[in-house]
Parts: sequence; C-alpha cells; structure tokens
Amino acid sequence: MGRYLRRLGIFAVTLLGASILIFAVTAALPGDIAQVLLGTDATPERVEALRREYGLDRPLPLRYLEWLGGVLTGNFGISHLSRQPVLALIGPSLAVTAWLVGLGILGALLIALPAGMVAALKRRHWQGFAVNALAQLGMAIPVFFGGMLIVLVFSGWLGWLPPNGYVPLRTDPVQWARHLVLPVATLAVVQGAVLIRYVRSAFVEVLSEDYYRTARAIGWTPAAALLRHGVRNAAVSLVTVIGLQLSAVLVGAIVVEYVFGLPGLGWLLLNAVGQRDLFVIQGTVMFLVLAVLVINALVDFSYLLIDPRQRAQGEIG
Amino acid sequence: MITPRSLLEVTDLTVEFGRRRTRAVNAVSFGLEPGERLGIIGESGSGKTVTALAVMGLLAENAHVTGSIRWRGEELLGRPERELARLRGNAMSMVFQEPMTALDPTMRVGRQVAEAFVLHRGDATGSARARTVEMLDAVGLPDAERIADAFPHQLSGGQRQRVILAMALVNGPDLVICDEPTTALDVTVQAKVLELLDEVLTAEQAACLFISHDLAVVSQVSRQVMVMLDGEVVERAPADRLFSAPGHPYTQGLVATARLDLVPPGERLPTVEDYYTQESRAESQARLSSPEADAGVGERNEEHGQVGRS
Amino acid sequence: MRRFQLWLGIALVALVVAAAVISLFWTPFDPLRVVPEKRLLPPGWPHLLGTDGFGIDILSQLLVGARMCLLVGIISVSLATVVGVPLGMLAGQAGGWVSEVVMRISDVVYAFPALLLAILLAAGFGASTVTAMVAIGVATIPAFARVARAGTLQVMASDFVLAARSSGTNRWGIAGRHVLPNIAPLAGVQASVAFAMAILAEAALSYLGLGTPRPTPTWGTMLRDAQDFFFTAPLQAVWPGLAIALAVLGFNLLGDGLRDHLDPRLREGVQ
Repeated sequence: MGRYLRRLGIFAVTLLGASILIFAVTAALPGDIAQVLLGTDATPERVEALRREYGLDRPLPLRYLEWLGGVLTGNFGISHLSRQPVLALIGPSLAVTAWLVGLGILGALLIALPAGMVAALKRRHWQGFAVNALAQLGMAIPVFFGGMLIVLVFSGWLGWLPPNGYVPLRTDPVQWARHLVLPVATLAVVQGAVLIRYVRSAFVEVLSEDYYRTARAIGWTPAAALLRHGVRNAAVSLVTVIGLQLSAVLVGAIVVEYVFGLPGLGWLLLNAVGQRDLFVIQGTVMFLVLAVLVINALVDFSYLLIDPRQRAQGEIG
Repeated sequence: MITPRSLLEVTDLTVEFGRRRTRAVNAVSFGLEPGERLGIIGESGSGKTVTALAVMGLLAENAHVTGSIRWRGEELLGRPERELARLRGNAMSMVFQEPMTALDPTMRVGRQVAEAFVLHRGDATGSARARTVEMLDAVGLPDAERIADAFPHQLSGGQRQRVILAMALVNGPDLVICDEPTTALDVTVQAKVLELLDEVLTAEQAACLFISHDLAVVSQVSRQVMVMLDGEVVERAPADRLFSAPGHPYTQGLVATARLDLVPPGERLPTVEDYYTQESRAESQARLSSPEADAGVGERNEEHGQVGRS
Repeated sequence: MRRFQLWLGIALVALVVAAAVISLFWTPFDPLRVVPEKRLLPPGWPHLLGTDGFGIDILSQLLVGARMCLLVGIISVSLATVVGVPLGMLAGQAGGWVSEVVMRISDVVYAFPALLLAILLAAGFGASTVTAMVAIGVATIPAFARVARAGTLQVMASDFVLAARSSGTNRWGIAGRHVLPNIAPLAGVQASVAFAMAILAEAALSYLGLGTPRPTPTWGTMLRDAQDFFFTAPLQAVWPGLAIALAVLGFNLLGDGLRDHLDPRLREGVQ
C-alpha cells in the first residue's frame, strides 16, 4: 500500500512541477503578456486596460495560485480571442485526438506485435533482418513526411480516401471512418516501427526463459509457445514502454493533425500559437501534460492486472 | 516385419555450437528399452543436458547435431518441428532443473498442467480439469483442487517441482527425461520427490533418462548409470558396480566424493581431482578432440549457458 | 551484418557532415535568392534536383539545411549532455534526498515532449532557431540524467571504487577518475541516439513553423513549403524528406553500432 501512496505523491509533485514550468514560461518569462497578446503596435492605454482585465498587475505567486486553483477545479482560463472557456475548446478537440491516439496505438501494436515476434523468432534468419531493417527505416521517417507520402498515394494517385478534414462520429460514421483512416495509419506505421524493437527484445528475453522451454517441452511449437506464454510475460515490459512512448505518440498525433487538418488538440494548440492566444496555449499544454501523467499512473496500476506476483501475496499449502 | 525395437536408440550423437562449432557432445551412443531407466552423471559442462535436449529436439538454433536419434526405430533428427512437437509432452516429456523458473509466472498451475493434456488430447469431453486434479493428486500434492488454482509464486519449490512432474506425466509418456530434477530442492524434499518419481515411473511403466551430477541421487532412481566427461561417455555400468569397482579414474573420483561417509573423521575430504587430475584430463582431451573443438573453455561454457544449465 | 550497420551509419553521418561543410564554402546556387521565372523546375541541368515554389535551387537548400540540422543537433545534444550527465552523476553519487530531488525534477521535464516545450517557448519568445534548440535540449536532459545515474550507481557499487574510497580518494576524485570515464561511453551512445531524435524534432518544429523562420532553409521548412505543390510536384518534398530520413537513420545506426561495440554481450550471436 505504501508503494501506491508513494506513487501518488510523486504524481502530485510532478504535476505541481509541470504547472510551475508552464506558468513560468508563458506568464513570467516573456515580460508583458498583454503586450504579447495585443502585438507591438498596441497603444499603452490598451495594454494597461488589458493588464487590469486579466489581473496581470497583481503579484506573480498570487496569479499562479489562482491559475492552479482554476486548473484543479476544471477552469483552464478563457480564450483571449474567442472569449470561450479553454475547457470548452478542449472538449470537442479532445474527442478527435483521443480517437487518433487510441486507434493509432492500437494500430501500432497490430503492426509491432507480429513483426516483433517474427524478428525475435527468426533473429538468425533473413526474415529477422528484414523486419529490423524495416523498423530502422520506419523510425527514421518523420511522421509528417510519412503522412504526406500516404496522402499522395491514397488520395492523390488512387483517390480512395479524403486527404484532410474531419466529420464527427455522430454526424456520419462512414465519413468519420474515411477521414480517420489515413491519419491513424500514419501514426500507427511510425509508432509501430518504434515499438518493434522493444517488442523484439521483450520476446527475445522470453525465448531464454525456463518457462518457454517448458512450454516447448510439453509440445508447443516455438511460435505457439511464444503466443501462449510469451505475450503476457512480455506485456509487463511492453506496457512500460507504451507508457513511456505515450508522449511521443501524443506529439506524433499533434503533427499528424496538422498534416491532415484534423481539429484536435494539436490543431487547437498550433492555431493558438499562430494567434498568440496565450491562455489557450497554457491551458491546453497543461491539459496534455496532465493526460500524459494520468495515463502513466494508470500504466503503473495495470501491472496488477498483468502480473499476479504483484498482487497481494498469499501462500497456499 | 516384427522385430522388437528399442524405445530410444542414440548413435554417435555429436552436438556442436555456433559458427566455430564448439563441440559439446562427442559421439555419444546409448539405448533405452521400454520401461528402462538410465542415469547420466557428470559435472557441469559434461554435455549431459545437451544430450537430453538433443533427444527432445530442444537445442538452440545454432546447434549442429549429427549422428542418429531413433525413436521406436524412426529417425528424429531432421524431422520437421511440427512432428517433433507432437511427440514432446506426449510420448516423451521432460522435467527441468529449476522449479522456480520453469513455470509460467502469469498462469495458474492447474491451467499449465491442463494445457499439456489438452494440447495432445483435446478437451472435447471437458475432462482436462479432472485429469489435472487427478495428476496433481498422484504426484502427492494434498488438496489438489486448491493447488490447481494457485499461481507458481504461491507454491514452495517442492510443490512446484511436483507440478512440473504432473505436467510431464499427464499424458502417460513412454519416456521421461529428468534433468537434475531435485538439485534445486532441500535435501529432505529431495528424498521425497525422488521416492515419488520412482513410484510414478513404476506405475506408468515409463522409461527414464535421469541426469544428475550426484551419483547417490542417480542410484536411487536408476540401476544403469552412464558417466559423461567433456562431452563423451567414459563409462557405463550398473550403479552398484560403479560404486564397488569404478573403472575410469574420473568415476573413481566421483565415487569417492559421493561416499564422504567413509572418510575417517579428521581427514581431508577427497576431491575428483585426487583421482583424475587436470593434467591427465587435458591430455585425453588433446587426444580425443580436434583442434577446433578446443576453442576456449570460456566460449564453451557460454554455449552451455545458452542451451541449458547442465 | 552488425559491422555493416555501423559502417552504414558512419557513412551516412559523414555524408551529412560533408554536405554541411561544403555548404559553408559553396552551393550550386544562392539558397536564398527567389527567381520567379524558374519556379518548380523538375530535376535536370543546371538545377540537379529542380527548384521549389520560389524558384530556389533545391540542392543548394539541402546543403544549407544539413548545416542547420547539425547545428541544432550539436547545440541541443551538448546542452542536454552538459546539464544531464553531471546531474545524473550527482544523483548517483549523493543518493538520498539529493537523488530524489534531481530525479523528481527530471520526471517533471520528462512529462514535456520537445514539441510542447517548443510551443511554450515560441508562444513566449516567438519561434526561432534558439527556441527550437533550447526546447529540444531541455527535453533531452532527463534521458542523459537517467543514463548517467544508472551508470554511476553501477560504478559506485564496484570493487575498484570501494578500493579507491578505502584508500582515501575523495568524492571529486572518484567522480573524475572512475565514474566519468566509465559512463562516458554510455553517454556517447545516448548522444548518438539523442542526435537522431533531435534531427527529427528540429524537422518537425520547422515543419510546424515553430523553428528556424524563413528565409533560412531547413529540411523541415522545405517540406512545409513543398506541401502546397505536393500533388503536382511531389519530388520537391521527397528530397528533404529523404535527407531527414537518411540523417536520422545514420545517427541511429551509429548509436546501435557503438552500443554493440561497447557491450559485446548484446551482440546477436549470444543471447
């Protein structure tokens, strides 16, 4: 139990540190937010008015605490441009990004698990080398370049799928799926390539385990033994990797949204940067970091489901 | 043609590893009749585990195996993996040295035993669970129902080794290969497991290849014993004759170290090297093996670590 | 096979370095001059790889882009090494609350991918090469700190450090004479891998308009520009895309090769 309290403590401290970092960079360092928001050609009077409106004339620590309190109660601030609460902007965008990231990770696993298994089982054969080479190549291709190539082939040449845009699931499920196929495939291929080498080394480790040999000795073929007894055991290390890769996937998703014009969190964020909408940036980045941390904490707890040794220990017999 | 056939016939079995073809087993031959038991004794790295794994067809991919391994008269070497897998765990099975790590830590032991059964027999009648409990009971695990639902980490070493034994015996195999099955256990548990092994082997009328570094342990299970040294068989004789009149100097050393109770109090305990020195060993190695086969002890050990823990 | 990978890595990295060095002295054409009448020329003579939407020679831009890619890589990886390695050594040697504080700070930074940091910095200071380098460098610090800490812990537990300590060598002596030389190779491998990631990150940032602004050509901005004509002139995007991929591949292979070279136990033949 103490272990989980400690994890919770670390989680809280990390979150606090992250909030300070975000607040410091966006609010404290650049000097005058009001000036930034209005641009350099604004009159001093307007700047002063804006400072008062946002309470920028008050001391920094106070402003930080207010902001933090807002974040904790679900109030991420108000967009300077659209005058909408940041959370209201995040809501619909979150759905898009969540679909993209979720399906992307799923696709990446669908690519990396079989490929990594082949790479491990056939590591002395050409199949293994081929998988390794493809993984190296996939890791080297920038996600946006990969996305552009996929669009070129499937929208430009073949004309099968739309090159950009988004339709919400509730409006038209078919169009929703058609618009998501290419972005999800892009994210899945690039992230899948990164995952392959982790899957491979996790399975190579299983191959040297005694229980794998036992499984072979009771009559499983190598591939079947690996599927039957390897996946769950490899999952323990793979879940860690996927947790660590999560921020990379999120970054990939932000870029993919930009390439495909998907109105997700990345789109929201990059537009806010373009328009210097500081409060949206602050709120969205905080939200993303919060999401990364929460999911990493969930990953920690998922060990309990995978590995019975981590559960409460009881002696039988 | 009705010729009585041996269960297992190993002829000139030679196993080499890696590109440098480091030789782990050199021209080993032996045979087993149905129900017969043979002990293999030798120190770490003598090739006994490699021999066993070669029979099971479980050597690492970088092993080059030559010679012949015949099962009921049919050659096993070069047979496709799928056919060998059908044999494994069914007609021949293996009990490993490390009860702590030989079971899948994420799966309840009952399911692991049942798996060995279902894999070869199927579970159309839903009898796997009953058979599992029956087997766990037969290997002397009280309260088999409860044990079946336990994870490996919840069991003691002796209990786990019994579970592994149950896995090996669940399909009524003709041959059970035991690789140091009791080495990792406490001495008291060791005796009980050996007794049990003797009992179930007799009950199942299964042949047995019993591997150990301990002559005393081997002689409890098997009357015939084969002594291996540096990948070769140096002597084969009934256990009692090995004790009374060991032939090879290395065997003499083994016997002396196994009968420490004969050493008068206060005297230095004997070692194998008192009988078979490193020099004479190096000499015979130089005589027996080709120059490449001698490619460094370090590498040889490394290869062994990879194959099994002999 | 492994050896081949290492040499391929070295060759690719050498190619990028050569391109960067050549660009300092010579490029086929002016990489900044806009020539409207020469827009979107296909590969040929004298524009070997063609021209872009502004009529600028693509090969010249690629060469200068190599310089920018190396510059950002070197600065950001150096920043991460210079900050991360001593922090990791400190955490590993001091242990206790010092280690705890360092690792918690490292956790905080670890939660920020380079892209999010770059977005924050660009929002605050405006996008530039410097913000890109700082963002990538800072985001990479935790990786170095972790490697250095793990290595330090290992060295500190070794017999020769025990011997040095019992013979009265002080902390700094141990750090300088034993820990640093032993973790330097690990840090080197990490640097090579980090370099590959820095190139990818830099390309992504300039592609998103968060890195080096125009007119300085970078591979990322070239791709960004090429996107407008992508269906009609896809080759224009393929060149910088290929350049990024080969550079990243080179540094990744180099890192893998170095790792294998340093730790023979990881080699394929032996498991």
